[in-house]
Amino acid sequence: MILIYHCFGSAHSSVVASAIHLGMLPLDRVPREEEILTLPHYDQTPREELGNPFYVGRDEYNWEVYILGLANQKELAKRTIWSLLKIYNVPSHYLILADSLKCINNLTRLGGFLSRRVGLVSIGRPLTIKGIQKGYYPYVKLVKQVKKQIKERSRRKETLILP
Amino acid sequence: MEGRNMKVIYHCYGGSHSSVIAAAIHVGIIPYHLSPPKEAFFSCPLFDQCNPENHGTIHLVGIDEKGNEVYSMGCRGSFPLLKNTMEGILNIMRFDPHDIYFVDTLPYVNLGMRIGGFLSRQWGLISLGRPMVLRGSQKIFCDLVRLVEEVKGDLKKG
Repeated sequence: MILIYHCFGSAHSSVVASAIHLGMLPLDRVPREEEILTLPHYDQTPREELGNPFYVGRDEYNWEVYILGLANQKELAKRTIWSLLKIYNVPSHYLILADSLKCINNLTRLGGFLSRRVGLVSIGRPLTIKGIQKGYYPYVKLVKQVKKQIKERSRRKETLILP
Repeated sequence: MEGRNMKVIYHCYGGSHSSVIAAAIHVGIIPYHLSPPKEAFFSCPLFDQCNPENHGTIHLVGIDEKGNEVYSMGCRGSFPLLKNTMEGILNIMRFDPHDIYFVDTLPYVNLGMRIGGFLSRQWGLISLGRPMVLRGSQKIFCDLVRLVEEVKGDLKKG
């Protein structure tokens, strides 16, 4: 089973959400700067990699967790993903797409723009971290919602066989 | 030996005109030879039908004589992103991304189709846009036939 946290550039909000999901960041307190900075893919993904899903890890329910940057085309790309799965006869409950972009605040947005788009990493990166520390709990809330959804799906115990 | 079956996806901006026509030529909905009358284009599934809400959806047009599935799709200028996503998702699901053959029909689109398509699909001015699209489609029909022949040649080579 597949879980994808998607955001604009798969560099900040999806990285943080997936890290909380996999226990690399805490649920009960705001993480320190170095805890965020050392996350794999944090503020790294270049523009050419937009649309490319990256594997982050496997969670306690045995779901594979990925991050994905969809730029400003998430509706378009989501339609493509769902219709692709249909073509390949993959049942839709096999995949969860979780939008982590809705958790982001303007500070992280600005920092991300400076670092990833303009290339001012030394100015942008600290801003993204400040932003995430300032508005950390929306990410925790999102992860809790997603885990609830996963738990419900696991409880249904559907037999899932890929063709 | 028969080659493996492929999924051919013709893609353009809106998935309403050039990709739909090319896919229809590919599966034999519109006959290959001669420039077809305008009415022939309406036999293409989804011709001048897709709205911005359908962009990104992959539509099955038919299956060709070799058993390849032929699709049309509108990528709204974000094909590089969508290609990454599609290949990534297939990898994740343990399918072979090489089973998909992407064909870009946007380079064949002429100005009349662009403007007409925009008027008809974006603004809903069908009575104004559709005749322009039809005229433009007739003009590029031979190019699309040639493109489809190249694609079929490539599919044969594998």
